[in-house]
Amino acid sequence: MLQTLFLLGVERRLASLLFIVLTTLVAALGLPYLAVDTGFGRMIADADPGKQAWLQTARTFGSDNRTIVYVRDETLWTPDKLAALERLHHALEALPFVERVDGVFNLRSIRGVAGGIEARPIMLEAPRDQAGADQAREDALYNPLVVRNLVSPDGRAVALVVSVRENDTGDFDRAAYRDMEAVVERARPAFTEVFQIGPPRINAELTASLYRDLMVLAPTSAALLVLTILFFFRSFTAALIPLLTAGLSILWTLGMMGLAGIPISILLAMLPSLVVVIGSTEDVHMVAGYYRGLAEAQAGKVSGARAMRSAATRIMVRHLGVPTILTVLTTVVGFSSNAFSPLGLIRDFAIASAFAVLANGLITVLLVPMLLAWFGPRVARGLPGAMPGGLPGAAVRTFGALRHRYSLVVLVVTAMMCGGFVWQASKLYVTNDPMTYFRGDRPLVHDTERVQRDLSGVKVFYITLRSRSPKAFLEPAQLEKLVEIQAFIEKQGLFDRSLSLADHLALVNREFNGGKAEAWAVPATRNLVAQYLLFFHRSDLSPYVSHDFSQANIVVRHNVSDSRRLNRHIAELREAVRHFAGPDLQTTVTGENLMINAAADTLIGGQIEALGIVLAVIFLMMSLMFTSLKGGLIALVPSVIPIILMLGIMGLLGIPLNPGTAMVAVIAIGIAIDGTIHLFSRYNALCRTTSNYDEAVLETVKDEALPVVATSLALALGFGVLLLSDFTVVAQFGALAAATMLFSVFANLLITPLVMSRIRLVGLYDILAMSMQREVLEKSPLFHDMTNYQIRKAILISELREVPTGELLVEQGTAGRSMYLVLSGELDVVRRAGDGSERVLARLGPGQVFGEIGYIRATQRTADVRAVTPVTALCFDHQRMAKDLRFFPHIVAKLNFNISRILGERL
Amino acid sequence: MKLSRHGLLLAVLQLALCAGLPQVARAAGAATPEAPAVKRDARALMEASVRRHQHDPYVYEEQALILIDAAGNRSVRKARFFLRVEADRRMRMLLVFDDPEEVRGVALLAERGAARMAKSAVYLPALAGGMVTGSADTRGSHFLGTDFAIEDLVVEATEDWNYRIEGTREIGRVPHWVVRAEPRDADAAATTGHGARRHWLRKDTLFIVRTDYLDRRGRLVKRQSWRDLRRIDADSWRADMVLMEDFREQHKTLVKVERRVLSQDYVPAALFEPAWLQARRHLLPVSPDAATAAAPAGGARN
Repeated sequence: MLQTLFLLGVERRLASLLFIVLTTLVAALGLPYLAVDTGFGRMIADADPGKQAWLQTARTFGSDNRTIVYVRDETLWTPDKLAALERLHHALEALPFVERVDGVFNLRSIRGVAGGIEARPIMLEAPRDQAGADQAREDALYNPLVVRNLVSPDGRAVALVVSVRENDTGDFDRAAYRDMEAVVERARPAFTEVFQIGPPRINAELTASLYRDLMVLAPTSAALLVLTILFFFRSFTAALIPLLTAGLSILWTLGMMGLAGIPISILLAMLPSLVVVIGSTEDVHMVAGYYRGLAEAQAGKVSGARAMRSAATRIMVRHLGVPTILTVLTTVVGFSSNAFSPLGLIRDFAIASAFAVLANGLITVLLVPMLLAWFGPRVARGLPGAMPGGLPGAAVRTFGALRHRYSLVVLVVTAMMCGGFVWQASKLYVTNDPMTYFRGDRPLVHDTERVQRDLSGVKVFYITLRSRSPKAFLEPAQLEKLVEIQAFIEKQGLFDRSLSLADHLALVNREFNGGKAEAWAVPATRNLVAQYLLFFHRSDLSPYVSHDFSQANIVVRHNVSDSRRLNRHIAELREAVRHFAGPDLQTTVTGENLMINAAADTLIGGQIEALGIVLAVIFLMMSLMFTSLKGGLIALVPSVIPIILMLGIMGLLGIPLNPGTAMVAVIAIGIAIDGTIHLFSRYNALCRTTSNYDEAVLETVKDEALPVVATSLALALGFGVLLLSDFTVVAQFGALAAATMLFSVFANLLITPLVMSRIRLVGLYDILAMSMQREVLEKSPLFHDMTNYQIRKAILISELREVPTGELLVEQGTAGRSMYLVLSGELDVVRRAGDGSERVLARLGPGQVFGEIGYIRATQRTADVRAVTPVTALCFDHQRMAKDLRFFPHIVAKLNFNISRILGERL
Repeated sequence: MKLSRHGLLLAVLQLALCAGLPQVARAAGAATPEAPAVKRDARALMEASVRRHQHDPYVYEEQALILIDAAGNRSVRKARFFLRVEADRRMRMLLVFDDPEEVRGVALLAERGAARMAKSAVYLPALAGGMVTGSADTRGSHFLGTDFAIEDLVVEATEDWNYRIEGTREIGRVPHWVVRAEPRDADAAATTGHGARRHWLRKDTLFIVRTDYLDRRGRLVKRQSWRDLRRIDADSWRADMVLMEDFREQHKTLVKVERRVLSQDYVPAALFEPAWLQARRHLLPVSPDAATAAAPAGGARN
């Protein structure tokens, strides 16, 4: 059935092409619906319990989504500069999407003056003289609520905080950034430094980088892939086939995304590149298999270009059908393991990439055999079983020598190395901060640090205290709780600053008490609190207290990027807030950036879960496909080793776990197992023709070295291309995935053969697909009381012999430990006398067994057994069966029991 | 009668909170002839408006101040308002909060002389000492948490402004003059936190039903509207409801006049002395006898 599927493209060429063309057209219909989304919403876990609280808090106290326009100048507080600043303030206000701008021009100063109090704006307009400018500077720096909030402590930098109207339009952020940037650009000549920082800029830069990645990564990956394949196979056809399958897969995937409403995110921007790279692996294996087929066809004296191609394609399909399906499935499992991630960013990536791999698998199955049978190379490279040359040959020789001479040392060193890397991996930290997605040398990162240094971090979160009683936060006792919480925040030393209603009241209290520092305190009575509050406009207080004074809010600014550190401090803060608030107040600590960072924990949990699922699925799949639990377990070893090495390197180099790097493990396992599957399949096939398993391992490595090294190198180079990405997360993903691919060469060519020689595999598909003469076998005494499945498996662990007419299978006088079961044809049992005469003792036909005495006990054969027609027979070698007793004890035991029965009956 | 500059200035001193601009009301929707005695000259229109509706020197009002935020949340304060124009042409006003309990007794005292400068003081009962003087420069500041600045409470001095008729517009089918006012000079400009203003005067009565406050770049930042107009006498009208909208802060203050008395008995001169406040006498009804005879909102003269 599998062969029929693989040969569809060859035998139903037109139908296959029509299917591909129609599907491509349907996919193309989805392309216009393809959208780009770099919003933060997809970085927050869907089920985050804080989401609702955050929305409620944002509704009550205003959104934490604001842009800061930072202005710095050595002579900022001069009439000219302030006039320019005023123009900038008003120009920003004039933008249609701007809700309000907070800055020194609408900042209210409350200040005690001789015998009275002044409550007025610091500046209504730019002062006309230097005295006015100096007074404004003095007023601004006098107010502790302003310093490090809107004005730097040295007065040389100020912030204009721009609140933007809610807008969900896809392109809004980019348009807003562009318009604000145009205003900022006009102001630039007036100041030493002026720039904007906020969601519009971050989103605009994310989008710009995303488009750049799309333009750069996929073409570069494709070019590298072509060069790598040309280098190893010296065939343009071999190089162009992966490009064609990848191109179609990308088109199908993008079309599906458009139709399914999955937008292109920063992670999905690398999808085309990934498809080019990952999709090529099967193509490379198939091309290598095709070359092997060509060599076999040449050896089989097939002539004519068309016949050669056809024969080579069919041989390739026969050898690669099962491993191709398996590798596609394992890669799909690897990618789709995150399909249920609570993070939209990762979930979308998982779904789209799994679809892409699946689509690529289908296209490969339909198209590659068709193209090879049609246009494939005609000249074989090397002979079957010949040692490969170049890098693959060197790898085979080196790893072969190590395996042969130092197998124990290799295993011990590998185990120790893994131990060391596991220890390094324990140093891993996690981050989901969008700012860390950018490279450190980006102006955006520099600007963010600048704002934090001069003012405070640009990230904001809220601590909200809720009472059931209206006016609760007119009570000094409740306000003191805010003070205690803020003191705790100060003690934590992680966050830049916090502001609350208590600060505003303390300021007025200080000013009504002659500006004495010791009067910086919450007023003593409820009435005084209420009366002081009359000096503020409601909009001054709206971020800090609800209209009915039943809820109070502490606004905290910070610039923490290490999610785990932030989450730890936030957990500690939540505990403290609950403690200080007491049982009569409900508390919430919330903010968009907190939810994004909290998703980092989800990220780790999700990846551990995904890794577990992938390993379990691959274990089950391999155990099932090779009908061996031990085989399933051993198959994981060469996949797990590169992952351990990768995690260790992350710990060693301080690369964090983030939405990009966290996925490397599961994706890499899905890809690295491909090599193992090909090795196992080849080993399985070779084991059927030899009883020397070490020899089979060596042959397997020789056969598979070229595709394993070529695909791993191509994958490493392809993933390495992601280092060119504008996003740190993508670059880190690429670097780690590339390293993992290289580790997988070491694992597959050194460790896999070491562990593989200790197992004997039988492919499930071989068992199910085996054509056997049912009547013959069911009647055979060798298979007495065995199920159909057991019979098939017993056949597969035996050795198949095809003997032409006249040839001896057993020779009288020789020592042989093999027993045979005739599948087809006839043989004579002939005893030769000393004088050379022969006597036919018996004629054997299908289902009959011979050689069982030699199998049981080492003794000389007493007669010849000669084929009188072409014969197919199964050979059960004693030594081999002794080995297989370890691997298939149940079946071998049954066979031995049946052999005893046969002997008993003959005696 | 022609008013002197100072007389005119004093005459136009009016609190928006008490709907101080006398207006001429008419039935909504009915076509009304233009006020006959006014030339179609912007300054003449403004001066006529002031002249018709500014002649009450003693005003007492009981008000509800309703503060409305962007989300529509409301908080209500009750207050008493006193206005007195002295013979020496000084205008003095006092606003006393009665409710909610926490701010009961808080008082704002403001005085404006013939010159442009104003002085103010605040009395906070919960504060030791109680009385605190306010800033002389109140431009752009808000008035005890409302959307009014003290300068908004004072009707502009027409001699400080240049006027230009921008045209006529209808509000609810009632034709209005739209008059643009701009500070006459830099000194005049320095007295205001805003730039130009745009007044909407009913053509029939010269009642200003709306004033738009523009910033220095001509953008609308605040709007004061007078509603529930009530006739005081043949030519004079007052509004029982005043709405101030601050578009930048997205906040509104609605003043509802629940009771109004235009009587000297309700605004004795002693009320405006700091000592009166410090003795907490402002917390007591000024004239219980008069209070019982006082008219409901709309105004009554004794």
